[in-house]
Amino acid sequence: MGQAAPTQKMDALETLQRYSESHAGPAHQGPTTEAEAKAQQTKEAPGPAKIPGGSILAPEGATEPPELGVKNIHPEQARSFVLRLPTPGSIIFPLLVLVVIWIFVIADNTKTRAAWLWEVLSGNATVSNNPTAATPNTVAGGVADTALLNSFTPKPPNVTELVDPTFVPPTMATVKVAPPPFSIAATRDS
Amino acid sequence: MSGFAFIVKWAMLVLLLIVLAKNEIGNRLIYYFLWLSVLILLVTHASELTAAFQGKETP
Repeated sequence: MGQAAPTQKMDALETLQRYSESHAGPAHQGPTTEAEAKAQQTKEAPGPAKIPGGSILAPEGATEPPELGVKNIHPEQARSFVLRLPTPGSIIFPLLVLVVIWIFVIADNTKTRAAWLWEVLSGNATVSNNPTAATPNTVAGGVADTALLNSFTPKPPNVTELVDPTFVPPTMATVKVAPPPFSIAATRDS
Repeated sequence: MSGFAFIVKWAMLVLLLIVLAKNEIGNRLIYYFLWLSVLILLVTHASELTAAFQGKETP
């Protein structure tokens, strides 16, 4: 027990120095001559920091920030600030949250989209372009039902438009009051 | 809007987002834009969400 031998201490110091040299380069040694000291002084003179690597706005070696709208903020600073912003969960996480909330939480016509999908798949609701009060359990077809489907599926001719472009289909109320005694097509044919 | 235009517009938007997401700065922009979208979605539906969680009718 007791203090270690001086040779062991020197060995430890040498090992430490070798380690630090191998990982951080050789230890700094002061200038030996006056000329070296002067050269080092001029080399390490304080000045505006160089931009490492440069950029489109500030090429290699540029020291002055370019004249932009924002003063005192160099583009490299802004860029490094943006790049240091954390993105936990990557893009997938907020995307999933958005989709899940939109499908399972946000209600459209009193039911969520997931609920409407289940109702339609189970046959308890239908998809229609004109959901009315007479068909309460009907979900309105979105753009996929109106524009997209109509563009790919052949549209049957609208008989009403062919007979009389100004013809207005009777509503339930007018049918009850005065039901037409003949069809319009028959009238035109005769 | 025809079905073709509908598909092309969405495809262009998705393509733009994919290209942006591959960029290191664009990736961050889209990331925070998506969280902002979540926030806006919740805020704009705040009243009906509150009613739904309270078991009431949609206002």
